[in-house]
Amino acid sequence: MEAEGVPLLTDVSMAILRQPVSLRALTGMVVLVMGMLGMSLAFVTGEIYHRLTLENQRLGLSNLVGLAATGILTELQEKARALGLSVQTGPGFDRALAGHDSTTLERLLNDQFHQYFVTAGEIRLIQLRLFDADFKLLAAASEGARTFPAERAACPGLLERAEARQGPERLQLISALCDETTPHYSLIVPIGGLWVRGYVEVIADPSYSLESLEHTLGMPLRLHAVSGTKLYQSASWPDQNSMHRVLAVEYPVQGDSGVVLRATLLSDVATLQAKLDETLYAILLVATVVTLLVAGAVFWVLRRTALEPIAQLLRQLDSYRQEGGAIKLVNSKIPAVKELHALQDLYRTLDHLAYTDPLTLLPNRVQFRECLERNTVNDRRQQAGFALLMMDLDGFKKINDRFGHQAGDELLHQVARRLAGVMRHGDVISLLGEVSGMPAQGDLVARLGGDEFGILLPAVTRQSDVMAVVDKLLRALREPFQIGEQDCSVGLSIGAAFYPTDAADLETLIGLADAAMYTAKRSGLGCVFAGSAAVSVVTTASPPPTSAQKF
Amino acid sequence: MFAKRLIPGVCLYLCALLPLPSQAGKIAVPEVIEGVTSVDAEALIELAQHYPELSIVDARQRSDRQQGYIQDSVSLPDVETNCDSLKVQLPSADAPVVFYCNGVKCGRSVIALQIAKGCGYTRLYWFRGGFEEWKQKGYPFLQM
Repeated sequence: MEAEGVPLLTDVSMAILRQPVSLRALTGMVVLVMGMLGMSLAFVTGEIYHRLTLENQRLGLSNLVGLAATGILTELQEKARALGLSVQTGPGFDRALAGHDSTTLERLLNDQFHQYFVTAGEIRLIQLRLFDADFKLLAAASEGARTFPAERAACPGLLERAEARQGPERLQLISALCDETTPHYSLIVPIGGLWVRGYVEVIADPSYSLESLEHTLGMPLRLHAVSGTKLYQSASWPDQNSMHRVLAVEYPVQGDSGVVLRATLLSDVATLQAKLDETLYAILLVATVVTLLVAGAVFWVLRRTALEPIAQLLRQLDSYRQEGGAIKLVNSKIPAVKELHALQDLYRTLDHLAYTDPLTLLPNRVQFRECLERNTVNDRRQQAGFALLMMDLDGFKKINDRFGHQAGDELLHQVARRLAGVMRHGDVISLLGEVSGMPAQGDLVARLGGDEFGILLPAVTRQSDVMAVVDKLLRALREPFQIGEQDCSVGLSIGAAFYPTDAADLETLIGLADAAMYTAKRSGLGCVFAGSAAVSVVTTASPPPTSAQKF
Repeated sequence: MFAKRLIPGVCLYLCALLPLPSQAGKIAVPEVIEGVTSVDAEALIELAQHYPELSIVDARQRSDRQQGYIQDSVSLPDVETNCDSLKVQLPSADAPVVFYCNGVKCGRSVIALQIAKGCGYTRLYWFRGGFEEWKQKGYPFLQM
């Protein structure tokens, strides 16, 4: 079941991923991801600060432990030196040494050893050994079986180094710290003052002295040999469960040949940890607030500058799909983003090109047709009706053939200006290149193609009203047109039809108006009304030309 | 009125009578002392090897000596040094003898040497670095 479920889940996920995401959602997600990244960065920064602070604390403590350990070992050397030199103060020592009286020397050494070992207790002696001036072992004293061979010191090479010295150097103290199964401190002290008569080797346990680190620094202490053997552990050493509240500082005690033992001290960092946690929470809180503010500001700016303009453009483009694009951009905001501004300009240009005749700047056939349809729809609600005039120029083809298309185009342009001038001000749509967007409420003149024009007269249902307009139109074209240096005149044949009186169907209405227009052209009459038995004629002062005149 | 004027004068007089701390040893320490051989710690050790009868005189005060001293040295503070005390400590006027005190800034050994020289001692040595140099170089010393 699980094996089938996984691919199913994957398919569902992939299907979800393949779904288109809105720009708003995408922007929101980007802002959200940026916010999460910011929060993550703040968290990581806080953690790094936390660790660096603890590491800094550890380093500082390590230095402190180092200083304390160095002081303790220096003190150990002082005590060992004093002990070694005090051997020669024993009664009969000088005579026994001069006579190499090992029995007496052994007794004196034992007295000294046990005095320090038992009563002094300041250092833990392992062995006391006495050598003559040529480093020949004369006597030794120790507790138990922890002794070393006569031919070598407690620390390897120390005796050889001491013996190899020449001149005044032989009077200097020489010591070593080494790890021979357990840590050892060995100091060789010359006896006899300026006239060296022998040497005392004091061998002590450095871990015993280093135990005082616990009291010096006031921290739980544990000492380990290099081998890992535990040498000492404070009674206050916490159990494993409490170790997270302390900072462990390890300090390696260095000997001549490397690390001799390791001292680990525990610093109670509960207070520091609490402060660091507070700092981390404060950083996260500030980061959260700042991130939310920045994310909100970014989203607001994007929404104002990009999302809303894009959404508006989308709505406008969608209106073309749903309503034919007759909605005007009357309240469109100017986008703040340059690209969006250019996109809106492009949209306006395309809109203009789609609905405007480029030659005359009148609405084209598409816009005229859409206006007719909207008026048809509006009429169903308002019952106002309208008049449709289809027009064709008379004599245009001859002018075009004779003077060329350029002259023909100029003529059409001037005709369009005059026809538009007849329309009531504000009713002519798109003459000045205005982008369409709202339904036409007044008269509309459009170039339908070639020398064909159309006029829509909303709320006009009587022939007399149409005739008044037709009269104005014919009068407007009566004056010759100035094309270059030539004057020329054209006539106008008009076919008129009423909606819904003549036809409630737009196609039929157009067909009737066209037919009436062709009747007018054939008959040479100015205007013919469709759907009427009688042909109405408008008397004009300028009859339709039959040929090119006065060129 | 008269008593008031008298009191400060009496106080000054009494202050002048108070014993001041000894200024002995607080003299300008010379680099060398004429008629005296200067030695360092190593030269002192070599000297001891050549002259088993070498005497070592610690010219410091006894309180300073408690910090540590060179083995086999005798304590004879400069303030106690005179021909009689030297005669007690030193076997003869031509015996080799080394004087030392705390360090290069200490003048007690200088004073003691001047006195010894005046008393006719001829083989005088001055360990100018004193106990400070001895200890710093890691040579053994005894403490009281």
